Amino acid sequence: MKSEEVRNTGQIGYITGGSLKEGFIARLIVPPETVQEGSFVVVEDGPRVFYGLVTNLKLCAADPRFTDAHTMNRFPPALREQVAAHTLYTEVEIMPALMQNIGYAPGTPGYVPLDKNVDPEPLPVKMVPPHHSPLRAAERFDVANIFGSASDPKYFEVGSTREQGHPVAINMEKFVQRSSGIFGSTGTGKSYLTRMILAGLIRSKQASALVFDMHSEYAYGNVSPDTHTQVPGLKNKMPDRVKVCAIGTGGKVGGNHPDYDLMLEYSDVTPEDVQMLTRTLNLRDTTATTLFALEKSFGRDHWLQSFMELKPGIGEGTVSDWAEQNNVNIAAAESLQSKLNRLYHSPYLVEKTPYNVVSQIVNALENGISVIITFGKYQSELDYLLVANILTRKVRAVWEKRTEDHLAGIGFKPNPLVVAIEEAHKLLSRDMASQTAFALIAREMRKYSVTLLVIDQRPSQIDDEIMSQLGTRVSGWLGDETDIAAVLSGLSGKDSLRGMLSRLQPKQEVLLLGYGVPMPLPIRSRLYDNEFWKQLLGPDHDDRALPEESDDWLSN
Amino acid sequence: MEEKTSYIGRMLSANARECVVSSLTQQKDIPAFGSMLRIPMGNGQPEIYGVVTDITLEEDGFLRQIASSANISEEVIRDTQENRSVPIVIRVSFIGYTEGDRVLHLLPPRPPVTLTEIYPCTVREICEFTRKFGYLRLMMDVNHLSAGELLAVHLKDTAKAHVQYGDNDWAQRAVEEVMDLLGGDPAGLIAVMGAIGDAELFL
Repeated sequence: MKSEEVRNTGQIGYITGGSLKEGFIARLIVPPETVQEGSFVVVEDGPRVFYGLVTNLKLCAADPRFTDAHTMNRFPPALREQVAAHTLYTEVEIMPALMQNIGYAPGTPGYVPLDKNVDPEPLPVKMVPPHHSPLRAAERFDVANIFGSASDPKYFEVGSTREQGHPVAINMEKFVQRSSGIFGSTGTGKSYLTRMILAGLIRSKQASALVFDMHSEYAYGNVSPDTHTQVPGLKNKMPDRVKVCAIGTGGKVGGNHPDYDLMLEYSDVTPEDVQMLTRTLNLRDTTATTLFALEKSFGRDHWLQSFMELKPGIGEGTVSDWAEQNNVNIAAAESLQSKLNRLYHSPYLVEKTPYNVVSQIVNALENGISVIITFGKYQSELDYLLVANILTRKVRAVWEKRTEDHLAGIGFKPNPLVVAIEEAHKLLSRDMASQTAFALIAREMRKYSVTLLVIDQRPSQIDDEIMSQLGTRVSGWLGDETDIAAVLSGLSGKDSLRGMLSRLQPKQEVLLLGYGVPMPLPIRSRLYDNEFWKQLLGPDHDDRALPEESDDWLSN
Repeated sequence: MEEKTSYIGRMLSANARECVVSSLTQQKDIPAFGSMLRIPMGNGQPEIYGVVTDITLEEDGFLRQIASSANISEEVIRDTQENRSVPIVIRVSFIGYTEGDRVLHLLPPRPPVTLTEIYPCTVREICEFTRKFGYLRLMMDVNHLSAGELLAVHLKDTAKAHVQYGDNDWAQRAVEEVMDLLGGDPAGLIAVMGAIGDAELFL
């Protein structure tokens, strides 16, 4: 096919073989450099179209002799070019993802109105296109047809296709229906992408978000390590839709006063919370027995304070005395008390809080306001694990009750809630997953309208069962094979996607996968810049909150 | 208007694929290797087209005597080469025929009868017959010589004819067809392309 003809039809190749199991094979009629791995391509077969991803490109020759430059150089240049065009070619392997019955266009030969029994929506691929079916790159229309249009408020434009730059949107309604994950190695723009997705989620009003912001980035922004400029946070840009809650009292976050100061009571800490901290506090194997005895002895609400008020030494009111009376190993009890000192003396943990911050947080979340828990100076693993777990447990309990009540005919169905956790492997590791509030959310809370948004750079460290529960996955570049395998766990076509994931550009390129997207697709993620906020909030949005912001925070 | 050509000889023998022609012409006027000839059958019969695949200049007793003489004058040599008619036998492979206005790139239904006159093709006839490339298949099946040598000279001469009629891309399309026909024979393709390259077809 002549290049002009190719330009006019958009055809880039034609089907030469393949199977449902191994994917389709097509021969390119355009130069190999015009197509890349991960390209979104369309195979047209009369009334049907097949949508797929290029998973491999292969340079082929009619015979190995034609790849020998010495042989080819024997021919004059014009003839050499012609022989090369005829004998050397590129094959692409395509992972078919969806097919759609679109029928023939009215006015074309073969046009008949679509049968009512034929589903015109994109469906999983169950057949193969015939030989020589034309292959073309996906057009803007195809991308919008499959992924949806960002002009619909339910959709959020997360990026664009890598070659043609067609906008790609994700359906936020589907995104919040199941737990999801955002992954990528350090420096791949994971937190900017999370910020954008959270902004899209908040704007879409599909759910409120409870964000555990370990590194204090999401609320008031931070200084970009790449451009060294101040990058705005969600509170800066959406002050009416976002509340900020800081751990401890009287603290400022980046010079800003938070909406709430989070204080917890001793009674909030359960024996399970302590067990979850086994590694962090270097607790012994006997801890579980001791905690059981403490709960039995002092009650679930008072065990911590009562235990920590026991004195050291011998005699009445001492740890050893309590241990003897409760058949607990004295050394184990004394060791546990010593190790719990750090937790007990955390400044945000008190006997009685002046007001109930948790209910204020719950109230905000129930009213569609998102809450960012920013850890400020309390960035240790102990603080993060303890606070995130206690708060999530409490919020989750409210959502459970609201849903049960609603099912019993009392009150309204609670607003969907997304709990976003950074450094998720700390809370969802294999040895800890069963003890945290988050594992239950990933596994069972969908029916209570609570889902997780897991943000992590080491997905392989997250419990397999939880990873398999993640619906939508957005992943930047990952170098480690085990991390790649974890991101792809439970998905079909993972062998094809593995290479694609490992060959993403280190910045700005991400792979969309899973339940929330109709088919896997590598995309160029949007830039987190003024243009993003203008598009999201409208051109008149108030950005006075940031006096010296750069127009392009991720321009590198 | 292009003139008709004069016949160059008569057919001696034939089979379904080829014929042998005795040439009337002097040595310097014999049709070139690879050139196209026309064999009109008359009486509404097909007009057969062929291509010269071999030329033999045969000796006779007198030529042998001259060649074995010790001293041959320059005058005798020139007279023999220019004026004396030596037996010239041309081998012509059939590459198709015409039925009225239709050009068929197939072997003729039956060979021409003996002593049929043979004509060189005019430029117009060449262009009309070679507008499509099916005949190349027959040309490449000639088995007593290298297909590359035959194709190289034929394509070069025929391309010139098409250029005269304004078709500058004919050679490129013809080479494309040859490559298609040799798709399953890489060694043959390299050999043929080598010959075509040496013919400087694209210069």
